[in-house]
Amino acid sequence: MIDEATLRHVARLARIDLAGLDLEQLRGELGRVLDLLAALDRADRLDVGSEEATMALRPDVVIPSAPLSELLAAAPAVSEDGAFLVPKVLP
Amino acid sequence: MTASSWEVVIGLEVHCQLLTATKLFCGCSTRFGAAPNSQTCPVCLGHPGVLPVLNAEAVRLAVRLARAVGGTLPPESVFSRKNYFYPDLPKGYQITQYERPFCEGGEVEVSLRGVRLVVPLTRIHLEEDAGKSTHGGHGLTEVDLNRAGTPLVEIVSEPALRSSDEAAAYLEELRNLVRTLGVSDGHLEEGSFRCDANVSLRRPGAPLGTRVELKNLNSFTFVKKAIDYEVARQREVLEEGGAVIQETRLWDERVTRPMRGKEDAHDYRYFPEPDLLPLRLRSEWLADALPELPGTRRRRYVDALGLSQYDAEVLTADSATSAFFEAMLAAGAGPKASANWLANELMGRLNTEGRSVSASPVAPQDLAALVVRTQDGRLSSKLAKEAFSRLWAGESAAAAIAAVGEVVSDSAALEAAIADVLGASPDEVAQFHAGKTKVVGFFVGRIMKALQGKADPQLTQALLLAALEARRPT
Amino acid sequence: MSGAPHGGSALAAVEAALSALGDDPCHAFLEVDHDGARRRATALDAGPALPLRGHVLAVKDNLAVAGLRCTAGSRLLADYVPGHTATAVERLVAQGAVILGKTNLDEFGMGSSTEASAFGPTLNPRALDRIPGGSSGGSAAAVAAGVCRLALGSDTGGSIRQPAAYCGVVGLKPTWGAVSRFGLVAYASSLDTVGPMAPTVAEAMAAFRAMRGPDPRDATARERPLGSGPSAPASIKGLRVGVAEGWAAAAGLHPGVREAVARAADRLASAGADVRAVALPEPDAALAAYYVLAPAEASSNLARYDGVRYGARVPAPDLLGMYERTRSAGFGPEVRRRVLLGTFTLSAGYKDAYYGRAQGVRAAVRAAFLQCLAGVDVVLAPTVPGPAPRLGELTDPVQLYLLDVFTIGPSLAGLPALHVPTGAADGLPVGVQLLGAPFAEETLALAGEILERGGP
Ligand SMILES: [Zn+2]
Repeated sequence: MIDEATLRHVARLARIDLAGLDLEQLRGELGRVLDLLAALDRADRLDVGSEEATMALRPDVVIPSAPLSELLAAAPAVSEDGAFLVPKVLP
Repeated sequence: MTASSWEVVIGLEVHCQLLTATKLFCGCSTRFGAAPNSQTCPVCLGHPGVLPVLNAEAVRLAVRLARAVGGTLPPESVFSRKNYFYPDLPKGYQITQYERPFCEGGEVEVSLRGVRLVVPLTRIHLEEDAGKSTHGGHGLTEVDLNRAGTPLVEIVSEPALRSSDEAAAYLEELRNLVRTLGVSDGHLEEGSFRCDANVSLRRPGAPLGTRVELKNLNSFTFVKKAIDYEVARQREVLEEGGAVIQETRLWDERVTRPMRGKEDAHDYRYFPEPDLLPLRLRSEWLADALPELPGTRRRRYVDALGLSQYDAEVLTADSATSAFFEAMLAAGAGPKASANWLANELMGRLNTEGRSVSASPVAPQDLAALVVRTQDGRLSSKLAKEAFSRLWAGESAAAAIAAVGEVVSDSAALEAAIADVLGASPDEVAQFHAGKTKVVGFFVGRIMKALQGKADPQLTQALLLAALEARRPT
Repeated sequence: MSGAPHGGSALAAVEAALSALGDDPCHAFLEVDHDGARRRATALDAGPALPLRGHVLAVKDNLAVAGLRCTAGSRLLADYVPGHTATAVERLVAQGAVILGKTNLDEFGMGSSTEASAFGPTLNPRALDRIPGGSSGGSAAAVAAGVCRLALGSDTGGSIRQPAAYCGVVGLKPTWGAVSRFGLVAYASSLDTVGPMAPTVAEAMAAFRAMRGPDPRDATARERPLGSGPSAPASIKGLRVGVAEGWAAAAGLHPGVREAVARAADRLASAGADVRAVALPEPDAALAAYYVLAPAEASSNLARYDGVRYGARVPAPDLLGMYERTRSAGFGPEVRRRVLLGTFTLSAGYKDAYYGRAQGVRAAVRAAFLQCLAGVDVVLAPTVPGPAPRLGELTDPVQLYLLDVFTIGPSLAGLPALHVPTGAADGLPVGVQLLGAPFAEETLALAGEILERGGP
């Protein structure tokens, strides 16, 4: 079972607002999943081996950017000169 | 205990932008100064469903640097995700190398005021840059992601530096190195060469003290000032019996101050990047030829050319200076005299005017011509300095040398001048013959004056002594 | 493929699909591109014949198609329209397939019933009170309802095979890396695969062959490595088939499923295969490793949904508030749970016990599967524990997780797996899962075609 302080810490790391959620229920659900994970302790383990495939790389050639207007049109808030706008870290 | 009994421990983390045309994981241009977000695509904006594909040229350049510092290159390295939220980090994670970087170890040899210093490196790894956040006045932050995804190498030194001077010298050397290699343009102003410093104090021999990370060090001057400030601050804290807090501080013009807004304890939750396979070292990256590196060149100047460590240090401080010096040698000037004229006369004058060697009004071939004439005795040092002033003013070497005239080394002309001076000074000649040899200086002065200072000093001396002997009464 | 549907007329195929769809009573689709499909079909019919002309394609809504909304079943992406098209889709379209629309799914592929879609559940066309399975429930339903003969799904821990089983269609989860993931909204990248669903093995394989292979936009997509064993055997004669007897005898397994496995073994044997018993790793360790690794990767993959560059934003005076409100309002309960779980298992102090250990278990599971597949060409196993559960029947997340108990192991091992329907139990479709070594899809197809032909 995850205690409430840990749940709050994890939610902060994940940027999930817990306000309005039933924390007892959530802890219960997560707890049942963690019970499932107990099988890890009993299971065989091996060192993680290396992938045999070789990764293909990309040549250093400029691909023209997508139309800026299209990319910016998807954004919730954009400045006049084309920067994304977000609230400040501290209001 | 006295203040001086603290040992300063500094390690530097340098982020250096690689000179590629495109970003590390997408085909967007890395050109500096474009309109906000005009160099972005779904990949570097972190859109859903897009994937990173590694730029081969970035790896080639990174490997070049690793080879130049003598690092160990494992056959395989692995990219990881560093997870944190910030508006300039589009995916919510940075793709970097964590447990298995492409380069381990290595060292950078630095020369500081004529003393050699070897700075060991911990590692070099490849990673993508974040974008740029600008905090505006309207309660909003503006985010430009043109820089997001730009290829960087992070060069991590061991905590082996002991003063801000050493730190600055190391940084200058590293920047010179990446420029010589063609790996980075090393522009601090444009953010393509950035430095964070980890600073701590300890009693000599004691374990490492708590370190403070300094950020926002945008020039070599700031690096020195920030470290000096931070060392003084920590010393004061420790001597008042306090403890240094592990934190990140920003250099803010005259002081370092704690960085705010990132109080959130960092837990980066690194794990291997599943969108990329391990990076395998290619033999072609190891085959490509390296230029002569600043450290090697410095050693050659000392060992083969007989220069002092100090002169070698000055002449290899940047590639423009060593190119100037090499061009003088190629034009036939001797190494020591060239070093002397370049390091003292030309660079002295450039420094006074705040100019760099690359902006010198004097061409290396012209300065070399002047040096050649001082070496074969056709120019005295006095005349050479006059000629140098003319070079500085924009005259060609030929014109400047012609204007100051050459040294009179014609024996007949000198003997005539000597005969005139001796003939006009019978009392001094008698004094010489009476054993008062210091009157020689008087004669030389007169002869020089008669020949407007152009008499070859050594020949004059020899001919004068011969003439005086010839006049000795028997 | 035996003759293109609708005589190779794309427009006829589209009209037939639209009429079969009607008003989509099963809610298989989130968006139907009537005009686009007709336009494209008309253009195709005027051009040269293409191998997939006459095929109408349903695309799971976590695969990008330029110009069509790509919601991934999430409120957060309700209005997101990508400018790029998934490589898998692009390759099918290049061969003449026409995109009919985007199908429903559990949000971001996280779920086993399509009930976790932000846009309402999909019903099982074989029995409207049943779940179609998930997360590719919409694609399975579109094929099962006879709307189209080709649909794309994605499979991370069973998301193609399990809905294929519940809806009685063929579903292929390719080898990890065999089909490009470019354009697939990531759930758990090291497990995510894109694959076809179809009424027949031949149609699914035609699509797979068109999609597979390296892609300059996916560094992990690759060819079948050279020297990785023999290519597909030419005939079923002598094909070594291992029956996963331990799995088929698992407690709680529906008798209809057990019988399906046994019958399939008989059919393959009578067709000339060399059938024997094999032991696969116990499923509980794989299940545990999966529920560490998939949520861990998901917690990172879903970090990009922050309301900055696209997607819905819930305003707040400060940055942290904007992030937290946007993500909490945008994600449904199952996604929220998995993001929290994955963040927890990666966090300082817990990472070694969970993420690190799960990586080790995954390596052992993979080694065990490969060892088993070194002795046989195909492993025959159950796909799901039983026929499709009722809508709303499973309320506890863990009950739903257990529906994937037989599909997760092969996913962890990166293996290809093919679900083939073989009959019915309690009036609901049942079938079997065929597993092979990496890049052995053609071998699976060989055995799969025997099974769908019926017999013995
Ligand atoms: Zn880009």
